[in-house]
Parts: sequence; structure tokens; C-alpha cells
Amino acid sequence: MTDLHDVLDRKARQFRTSGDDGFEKLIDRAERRHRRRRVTSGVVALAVAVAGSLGAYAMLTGGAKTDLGTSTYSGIWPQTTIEEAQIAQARANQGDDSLTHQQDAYGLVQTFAKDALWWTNVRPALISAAEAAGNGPLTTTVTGCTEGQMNTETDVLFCPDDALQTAEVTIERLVQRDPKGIWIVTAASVNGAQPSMHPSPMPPTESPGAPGPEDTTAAAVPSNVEAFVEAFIQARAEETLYAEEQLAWEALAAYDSNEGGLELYDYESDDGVSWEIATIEGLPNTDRWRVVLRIEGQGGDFPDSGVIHEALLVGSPGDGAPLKVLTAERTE
Amino acid sequence: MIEPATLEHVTEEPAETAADFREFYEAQHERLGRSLYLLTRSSHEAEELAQEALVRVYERWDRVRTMDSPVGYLYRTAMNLNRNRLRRLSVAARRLVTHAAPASDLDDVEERDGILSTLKFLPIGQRQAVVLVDWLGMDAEEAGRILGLKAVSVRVRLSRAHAALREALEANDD
Repeated sequence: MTDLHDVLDRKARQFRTSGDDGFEKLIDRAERRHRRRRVTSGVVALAVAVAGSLGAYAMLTGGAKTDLGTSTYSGIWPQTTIEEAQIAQARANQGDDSLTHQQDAYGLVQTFAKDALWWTNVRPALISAAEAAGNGPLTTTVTGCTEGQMNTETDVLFCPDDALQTAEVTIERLVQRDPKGIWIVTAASVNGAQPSMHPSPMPPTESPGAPGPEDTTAAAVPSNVEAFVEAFIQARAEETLYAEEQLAWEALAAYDSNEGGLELYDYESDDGVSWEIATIEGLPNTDRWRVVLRIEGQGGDFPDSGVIHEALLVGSPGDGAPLKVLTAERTE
Repeated sequence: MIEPATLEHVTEEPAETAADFREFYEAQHERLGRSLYLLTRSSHEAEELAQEALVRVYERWDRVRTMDSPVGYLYRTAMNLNRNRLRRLSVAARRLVTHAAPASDLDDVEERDGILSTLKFLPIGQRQAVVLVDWLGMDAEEAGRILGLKAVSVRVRLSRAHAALREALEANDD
């Protein structure tokens, strides 16, 4: 193969640049993009602010109902009423996987920062074993990135200094005061002020013994959401551009950078890959849906298990806008 | 999002940082362009991809410059961009009922050269490994970091590529 380098070198020298002003063109290109993104980021910031206000409003109205019957209940997240908390506790006691993490103080604080504050790169402060075994109230801190993580083409993640925030969170086992009791957030502040919080994405809290969550949520999913997801996965399986067109900016960036192993087009049905919607759950008090896809294949890009899962957040990015995939992540 | 703030930070860096990036640009632009030319077989595509990769590095220069291998970062970005380009081309091609093969700078030169004519039919993964290792002189570990692969996978790709090229050379000799 000694000839190979020479042959490649000879051919590589045929590359012709467009001119001597390449560096200036590069700077122009970067500055144009910078200006365009400033406009876009303004629009995104406005949309996020509106969404945050709506979420806060929904939470406040939900909380008001609680006060009618149980004025002493102080939980603000994820369960906003004593009834919800009692049902959640019962389900956790039965081993419901979607709720057992609430029995872990650290886990709840972490979930709170991710799902209520919509922070990324979340790092809760360590909680001592003695505190974790108690019932609270326990006040701790969690740091995270308020503007999402950086998605580059090279999977490099970071948070600008001005987007790094710390929240002070107080949690307590409000329903069952023993190591099996679920922790519930009773107060939270960022820089001394109450943050805008998004409602819990946890599944609806039915009574134990009621029909399982899959049956209930399946019935509640609007047909247009299911149809949207079906069309999205079909487009990916067939590698058509329709799939890309259904992605909001953040999801597009995640797929584009292969964040966490995300791939938009690598799982073709022609290669024997099968797709299915594992679950669809509506997020309480929102018009958004958490969709888990199960993708199964063998060899190629698949891990040894042959099965991967993706979690998508589906919803309208703005008033009246068509559904989009807002965020995407590999869950295993 | 984060990127504008990042760029703002970069563009407000002192003059020596801008000079620092210019130095990086001068050292890498042509070599990167040539590498991409070997992958895309088109000067225009190679120039476009090289520019885009360098813009992305420029936007994050304050962080990239402190990395162990800014060059590795640049090449990984460029390889990902090329992979995305191929996907889009593939998707677009599937949408057409009939389409002509895209013209390329290399199609009309030295088709008799066994290595080159074989190189262009290698899978893109093997071609990337050949360019990074055989032409740029990287080792399998470094190429693996850029391609997001284990070094052993790079060696497997290289081995397959070399077998195909060796066969082409022998056929050419005959």
C-alpha cells in the first residue's frame, strides 16, 4: 500500500479553493448566521416565556382546587393535591416504576430540575444518608443549565456561564413518613424568586386497582397525535425528508449532532428494522405528549440487545402551529 | 439557544484570539479541503463542507482552542457534516424516479487508475478510514475518535479497503 499515499496525495492536490478570500468569507458566513440566530433566539425566548406563564397558570389553578379541601397540603410538585399525593403513594408502595424514584430524595430533586424547570446538565447536591433516610423537610440545591445543552456536531456538551443556575429546593415526605414515603417538593427558588415550573410529566395518577395506565392513556391520546407519530416513524424508516420537516429546532439539533447516539435515518425498514410506539402519555395541563418509540433490529447501528428506545416530546411549537417533535433523546 | 451567546463571546475575544484562529485556519483549511475532496470527489462540495466545519469551529473557538486536539474536533465536525450531506443526497435520490449520476471532478480523470476507480466505489466508512489513516497519517485510535468508532473498527474498515484496493492494483497490473 505504499503507492496509496502517493496516489491519494496526487489526487488531493487537484482540490481547488474558490479564491484567496476564504477566511473573509468564513467570517462573513459566521456573522450572518450569528445575526440570524439572534433573531431566532428572541422568538424562542418569547415562546418559552409564554409556555412558562401558561404552565405556571395551570399550576396555580390546579393548586387552588387543592386548597378548597386540604388547606394544609403544601406540595407544589409533582403532586399538587393531597388526593394525587395519596394515590401516588399507594402506587409507589405497589412498586409502580414511574413513581418509585420519588422515594429517593436525590432522584426527586434531579427530576424536578429536569422536568419542572426544564434544565439540562442537572447536578443535585449530594444528600447525606441520614437526611435521605429522614422525612424532611429537607432543603438542598441543584445546579443546571437553563438554556439547554450545547449540541454540536461533535457531541461536546457545555453550558455558558450565564445559563448556569442553582435552585434551592425543599422536599418532604408529606403522605407516608417512613423510608417508603414519597418525597414531594414543597418550595423552590432560583435567585430568591419562585421559578416558572412546568407540570409533572408523570403518568396520570389513577387509584390503585383502576385500569392500568397503558389502557387509560391509550384511550386518551387524540388520533391526530398518534397519526403524526406514525407518519414520523414511517418517514424515518423510509428515509424521506418528511421526517426532518417534523422536527423543531432543538430536536433537529439533537439528531443532527447524534446527541446521546440519536440517529434520524439509520434504521430502515428495508433492513428488517421494526418500529413501534411503546407508550404515549399526555403531559398534565398541557397539549404536549411524551412518546416512547421502540426500535428493534439486529447488527449495524444497534447495540447487542437489538432494541433501542427514544423518548420524544410532541406538541405544537406555537399558537395554532402544526405538531412537531419538540425534543428527542435516547433513553437506553 | 446557546450558540449565539457563544459566538458573541468568540467575536468579542481580543485580537490575539482572532489571530490565533486565523493561524489555525491557514494551517488547516487546505488540508481539510483536500481530505474532503478525496471523500466527495468534488471541489465545490469539499470547499463548502470545509467552510462550514471551520465556521462551526470558529463559533466555538474559545473552547475548541483549549481542547487536546482542536484538529481532531475540526475533522470530526467535517466528517459528520459529510455524513449528513450523504444522507440528504440519498434521500433526495430516492425521491427521483430517474436521475443521472452527479458529475464529479474525479469522474473524468484517470479512470484507468485502479486505485482511484476502486476508491470511489468503497463504502463511505472505508473511504473515511483510508483518508484519515493512509493519507493524513493518523493512527487508528485518533481516526476512531474522529469517526466515533473504536480503533479496532477503524482497522477492520482499513483492512477491507486495502483488500479491495490491492485487488484493483493487481487487476490493473494485468
